[in-house]
Amino acid sequence: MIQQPEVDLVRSSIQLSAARAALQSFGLNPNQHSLDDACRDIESVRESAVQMGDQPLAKACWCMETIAIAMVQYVNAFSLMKRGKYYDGWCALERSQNAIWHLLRHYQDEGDMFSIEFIQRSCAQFQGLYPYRWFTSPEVVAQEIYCDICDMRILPRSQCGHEVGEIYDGRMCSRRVGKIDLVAVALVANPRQKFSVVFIKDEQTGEQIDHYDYCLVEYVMRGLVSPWDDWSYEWRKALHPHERYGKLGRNDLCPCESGLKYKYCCKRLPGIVRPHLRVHFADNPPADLPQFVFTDDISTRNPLPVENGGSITFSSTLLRAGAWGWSPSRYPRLFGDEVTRDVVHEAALTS
Amino acid sequence: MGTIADDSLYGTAKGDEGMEQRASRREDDSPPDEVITVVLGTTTLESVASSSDLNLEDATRDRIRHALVVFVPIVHFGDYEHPVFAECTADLFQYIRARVGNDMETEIAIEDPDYQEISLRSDAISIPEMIMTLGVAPVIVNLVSQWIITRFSSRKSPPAVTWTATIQTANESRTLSYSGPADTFERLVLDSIETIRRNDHNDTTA
Repeated sequence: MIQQPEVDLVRSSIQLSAARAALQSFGLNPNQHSLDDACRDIESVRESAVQMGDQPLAKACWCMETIAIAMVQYVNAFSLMKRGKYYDGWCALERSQNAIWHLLRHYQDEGDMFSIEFIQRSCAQFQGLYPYRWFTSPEVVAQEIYCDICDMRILPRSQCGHEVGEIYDGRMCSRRVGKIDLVAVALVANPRQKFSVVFIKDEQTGEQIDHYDYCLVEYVMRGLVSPWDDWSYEWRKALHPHERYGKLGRNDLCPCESGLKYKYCCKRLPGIVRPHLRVHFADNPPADLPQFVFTDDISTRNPLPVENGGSITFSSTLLRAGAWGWSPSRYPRLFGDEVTRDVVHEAALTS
Repeated sequence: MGTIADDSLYGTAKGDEGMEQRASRREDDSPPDEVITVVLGTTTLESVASSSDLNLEDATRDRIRHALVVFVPIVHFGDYEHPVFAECTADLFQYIRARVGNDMETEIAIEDPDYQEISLRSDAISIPEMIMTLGVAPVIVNLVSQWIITRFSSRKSPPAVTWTATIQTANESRTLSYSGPADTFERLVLDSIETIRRNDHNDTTA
């Protein structure tokens, strides 16, 4: 349950006014890349609050510190993605989301005072465009577990009373594992933390290869100038020109991946039905961003044959697109003079 | 003192008669469908108390016999031979104990120094397996549901929950398994417990 005193202190405490102003200007000013001074202020207030036994103020300090982490990690993620460091950007997005996850138990950012709702939505949108679908996940037996606050060993019949996730002296209680036994490593689609992305390894050199195609993230990043630019996207299906798929035989499998022969499927339509991403930028994107592209136009990095991961990369997006149903009349044709929308930008999957 | 067959203890519940309730709601990116099954079980408080798979002191075995709710471990998790509990079992055990007090004897089928947790690292919340009497089951389900809300409500994605519980009635044991979103957990499990209660009442009066 959210305790009102802490929420009020985050919003109005005089001791935290300098840090609050820094956090709010950080949300508005994309050129400010550090909150170190604000974090030092918060830590100083927290220490005196703990000395005075002022638990609500100490908890408010934790909230502000966590807001700062969420903001800095989000801005860091944006910067990394801009520079093409997509996996690092992914990890920063995950850190930002984790901070918000911890925060929301104690503080709701009403009115989006610190852009928490925006960051949360934007992180989820970016992650939705990443090609990662599988993650390694260790199965671990925790043989000795300790409370992170008081260091007491956690046993069923005797516990310290500190609750996981609760804030004590401005610190969040968690569990520390003293002794572990690794049982197995699983491959899962829904890990608790999404840092452990599966990469392939070069068999000759042993080096890790980032074989993923980040063309969708790359396309959106080209359209965004600041991490605080608002944007959204939707998945649709669209008709792609037949000629993009080379010489298709009548008995070939249809490129729309329906499993039917081409002659019984999209050959009869004005184009091939393929997943289609429509991106909405709240502000006009840079003029050099193409209004409409196929993914093979923007994906010049690590082009892989379908049998070596390309199909996996897009399998999930195909599923999402499939939820839109199948009605040829609903699909826009992505050629000719029909793409004339302003500010709406589109990326079509051709792989 | 008897022993319990492995497969009837903490593994997959088996029974010759069972009922299954399914509710589907599948949209894009929606949580997984909820599935709840209830089958005839063979585990009882007595069978847990007397299990040779568990290295328990006599005093603990006695407390389990007289308990109304008992947390039970996974005796064989793959090749791992030591009994293990789902993650956060100790926290949930304390949470329930603190709220029911002495009115509802709550026990855990392990000695404190032997307590270990398995962390599966999946985003799904694994609620520890329990055996309980029919009378206290609704209260326990309510507390488990509250604990899930307190602990996991601000998760990045709507949490999925898995739980297996054995309900001991006057006539038999029923093993209930739930797998699905957290938001339908309490309602569907309580519905199933009510069905068990009605069946038990009919059996008793017949």
